Amino acid sequence: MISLIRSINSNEDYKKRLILFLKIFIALISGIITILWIILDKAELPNQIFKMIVGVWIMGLALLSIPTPRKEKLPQIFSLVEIIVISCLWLFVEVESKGVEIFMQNGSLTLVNGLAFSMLLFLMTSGFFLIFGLADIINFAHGAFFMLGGFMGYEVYLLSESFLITIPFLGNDPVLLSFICFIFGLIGATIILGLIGIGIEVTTIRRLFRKPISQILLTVGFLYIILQLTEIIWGPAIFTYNYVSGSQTGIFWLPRSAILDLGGGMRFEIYRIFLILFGLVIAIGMFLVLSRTRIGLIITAGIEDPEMVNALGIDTKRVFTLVFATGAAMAGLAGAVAVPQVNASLDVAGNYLIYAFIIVVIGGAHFGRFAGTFWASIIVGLSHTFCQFFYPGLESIILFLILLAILTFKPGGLTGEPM
Amino acid sequence: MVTHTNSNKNKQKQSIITKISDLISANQVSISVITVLYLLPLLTNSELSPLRGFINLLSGFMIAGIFALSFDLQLGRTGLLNFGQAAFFGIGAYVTVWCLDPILPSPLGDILNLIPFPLTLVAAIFAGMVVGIVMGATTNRMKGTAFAFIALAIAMLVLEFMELKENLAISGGESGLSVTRPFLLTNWIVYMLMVLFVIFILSLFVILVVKDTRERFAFLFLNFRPRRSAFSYSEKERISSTRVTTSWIIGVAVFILLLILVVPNILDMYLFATDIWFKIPILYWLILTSVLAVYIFVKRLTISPFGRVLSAIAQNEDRVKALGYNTFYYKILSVTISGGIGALAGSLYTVNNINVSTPETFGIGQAINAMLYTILGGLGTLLGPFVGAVLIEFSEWRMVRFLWTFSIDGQWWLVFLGIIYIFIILFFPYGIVGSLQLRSRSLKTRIREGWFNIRETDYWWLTLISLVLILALMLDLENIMKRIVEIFEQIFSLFP
Amino acid sequence: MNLLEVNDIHVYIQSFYILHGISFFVPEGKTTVLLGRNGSGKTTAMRAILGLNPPRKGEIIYKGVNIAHLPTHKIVQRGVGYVPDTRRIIKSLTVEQNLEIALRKGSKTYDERLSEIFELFPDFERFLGQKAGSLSGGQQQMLAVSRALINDNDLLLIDEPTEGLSPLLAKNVLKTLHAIKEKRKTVLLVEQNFAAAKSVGDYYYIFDDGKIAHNGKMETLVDDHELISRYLGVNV
Ligand SMILES: Nc1ncnc2c1ncn2[C@@H]1O[C@H](COP(=O)(O)OP(=O)(O)OP(=O)(O)O)[C@@H](O)[C@H]1O
Ligand SMILES: [Mg+2]
Repeated sequence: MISLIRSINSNEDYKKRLILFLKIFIALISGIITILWIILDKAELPNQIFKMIVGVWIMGLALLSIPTPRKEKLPQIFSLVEIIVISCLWLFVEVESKGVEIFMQNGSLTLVNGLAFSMLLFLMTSGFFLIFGLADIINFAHGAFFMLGGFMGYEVYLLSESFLITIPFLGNDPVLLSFICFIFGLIGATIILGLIGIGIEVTTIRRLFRKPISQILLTVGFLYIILQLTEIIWGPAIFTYNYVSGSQTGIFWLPRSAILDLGGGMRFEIYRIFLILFGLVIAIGMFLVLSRTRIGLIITAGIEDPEMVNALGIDTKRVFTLVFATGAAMAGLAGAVAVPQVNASLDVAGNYLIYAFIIVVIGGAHFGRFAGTFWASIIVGLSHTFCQFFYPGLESIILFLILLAILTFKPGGLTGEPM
Repeated sequence: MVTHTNSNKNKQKQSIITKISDLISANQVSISVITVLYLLPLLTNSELSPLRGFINLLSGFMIAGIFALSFDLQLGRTGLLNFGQAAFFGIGAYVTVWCLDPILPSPLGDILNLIPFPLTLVAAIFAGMVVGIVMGATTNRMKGTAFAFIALAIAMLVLEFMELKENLAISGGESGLSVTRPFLLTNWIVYMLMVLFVIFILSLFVILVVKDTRERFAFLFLNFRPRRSAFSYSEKERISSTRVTTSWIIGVAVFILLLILVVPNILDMYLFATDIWFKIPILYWLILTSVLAVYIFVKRLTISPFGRVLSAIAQNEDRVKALGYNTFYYKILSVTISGGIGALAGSLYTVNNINVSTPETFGIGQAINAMLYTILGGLGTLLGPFVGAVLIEFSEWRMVRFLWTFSIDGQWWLVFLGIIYIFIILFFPYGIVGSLQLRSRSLKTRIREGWFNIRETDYWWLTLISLVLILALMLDLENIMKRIVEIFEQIFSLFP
Repeated sequence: MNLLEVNDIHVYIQSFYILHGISFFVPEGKTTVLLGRNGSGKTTAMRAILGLNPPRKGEIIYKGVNIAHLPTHKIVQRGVGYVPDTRRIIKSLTVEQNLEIALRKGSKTYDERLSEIFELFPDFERFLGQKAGSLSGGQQQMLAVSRALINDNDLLLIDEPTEGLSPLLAKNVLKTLHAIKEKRKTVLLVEQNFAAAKSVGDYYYIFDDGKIAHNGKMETLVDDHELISRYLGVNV
């Protein structure tokens, strides 16, 4: 075994050909199996996992075919064709078996939900990515920031509601009231988390500048502290806004029944559409800041070569403080905006930390570009939601399979380099 | 320099006994510590006592230590940050469960059930190494953090797989699986064999006492000898010192004293203990022996040419490649070995804990733990991960009660732990052992040369004393704290 | 008189002892060349001046102030420009953006400075919007040099500007060095190409294994054939 690996390693040419061969082989086999599976009805094959693996290989191969700077495009073209054929077949079978109406309903609903989730993930992960890119710090406290943002947003919401409800003009209009309070909640969470971020960075993380391993441990310490403090303050309960129209306070402006009906069975929750738009606006804003302003350029440059940026006379420590605070603030914002969907509770911290890991790696961790994080968020969000809907129970496995598939073929992720 | 060549010349003439005694005197500190650790269970009998509870606790700590060491072998030695360490731990734990109980479906389950108990550890190690090969194979293309994440992905994949509804039977779900305890662990014959082994270790210790009595007295009465460096006295002088009859007498006296202390307990165990009473001491010895084996193995590994290449890779992989080494081969081996050790930790955990569940063994919490132990203790210091593991586990265990003595609600324990971690890493950026080593180097030389005329070989005394002190502290910490608080309260009550 | 004085600096990289007590002077308005074979510590000396590998012992006096323990950005802000040996331009940004982040506030406006750069590199105007990663090696080198020139720096640290360039491009770079010299800028240059070093240098220091083996005026070195062949391996 090892001698085989060795021989492959030593012979570059042979290795390349072997990988090419493997790629084509995997694409071929997985394609055939998937087509068989679709034709033979989904329940036939023994193991669900097996099916998922096949599906994921195909997704991975599809993703490979998007950015193609390399010379050997054969497997990529191959897999692209295969994807198209398989998707057509899948569509056909789905539509045949369930009818156009239901298929459209399910498909479009999942798409919107998936996109909303993606935007949420993007909001949260953008800060994680910047912190990681600039200083190599894997911020274990990021999920905790996200969670804390949820609680803060919720608290600020209730607080501002209790103030504003006395104003007759607002008190009579619950929808407007809750909308304004929600916005206040978002702003509040962003500011509070930003301040916490600055505090953490200035008092501790800055002191271990350029010792990423020790800094990671600091963030673990803060993860514990935030988690436990949250539990002490709010208890283990799950918090979310009220949707019952009878209750007086904490009513959310977009209850689950607030639905946008486009006809043809396509009905979407307005909150999700709001989430998509909100996420897009923030994303575009961040892109503009990163590519147009001086500070944005410095951050972009800092991700590529922090030392050289320092040697150009820029105080990278200060820039990093800013980025860390912004990252925490963005996580807080994401947490606050997510409360109607994911609730404010303690489990959120761990789960979303892992999402952040996955997205950053798929998007390109080392020397990755910001766009990579955006696309990775969309991939993760969509595949998670689709899987949840069509193959419930496998949604968490699929993310890791996607990660494996992408990293096998592009070790640096979508945009990064493998160090 | 001179003595070095001398000893080279004498090498052929040395008998086995002198070789052994040389080996012993070269490792005085470790042998003292090992002896104390091995002796602990013999100080308990078939009654419940705090020491017994403490021994049980120590077993848990040492398992954490093994796990930390497996992590350090990658991060500290090879520079591979591995977030998927929990996969090794989990696979080790579960393979042990599958071996000990008929859980798995027919073909594989039957084979695993054939493996008798101590060999299950080997099976677990083997399984861990297989996972290690898979993870290590990715190091060909993944470097730095990318490797950390892909390892995490592999680990999470295994976790998610175990948590699937279809696999509930083999994973035990949320509540986990419970193992039947192996027969060997609750058996007085094994206990007696272990006792013999402990007495053997004890006699090694006594030889050590005899050998260096003269030097030690010199230490006790401070500055009796004229100042001289560690290597200046000749071979002849050393041998003559072992002939001093008084030191033989003292040695035998120590031996008999310890036996007198211990034998009643052994007899008591033999006469009155039921099977279950043997579990804690036997398991403790098993774990302690594994710790030693792993420690020595890793230590030998790191000073071997292989280990040097690993450290070289950690520092600058490209250079090592340029020197013509196939770094991939070294990295994959490093991950594989580490996987085996991690699985051993998991396996011992199963035997020790009886109950195993997926989130506890495969979860990301385990991976974070491994990282905490290693970084807090000191990367790449071998001893550091152990110190970190014991410290963290200990403070986790004590924190709630510790807070109670200051009438703080127990809920705050994790907050305080977090604060402690942050403080430790702020003041010891290279971990406790790592930073202390850096700082104490100057102190050490000062002590050795100027202050008390203590030589390197005399450190084991200090070690022994401080170890005993720490043990005492650990056993009665909260009472001591309570006393201190009481004293303070009394003092404050004087000022109305 | 001396813009920069390096007094007996000892530099470590991690635990490796690289520079064993090095001293040299960089007179104002002159070009000082550091010579020596590969791995003798020239780049390390430059990085020490910049604070990227701060010395454990010794002083670095710049404009009369000891800058040995200042953070890098403070040193650079005092008017030190750096052209690193591997160019290290920011590949994901455009040429213009590269210049933009290098620019510090000063007396002249951005446009004025840009036009000065264009005087030196006329064909630069065409590449302004291009991604720096897509430039050729020579163009990247020019970008690295102009990044140091865009500020009114008093001292320029230039590390092997001709490394990896074709003779024609190397000639171009040399021309630039002469142009810089004509502007009476102070330059500390590392240059392996002895002919090039000879033509621009006023003073030289020869590094050997982390120590300074020889120093003096360039004219005297040019005549000392034995020294040249011993330390630089060049047969004249
Ligand atoms: N990161 C590092 N770790 C350990 N040693 C290093 C490191 N960087 C450089 N060195 C060592 O420092 C010494 C000096 O390196 P330096 O780059 O300063 O040489 P140089 O004179 O610039 O050589 P060249 O002409 O090849 O550029 C070399 O021996 C090198 O091996
Ligand atoms: Mg150099």
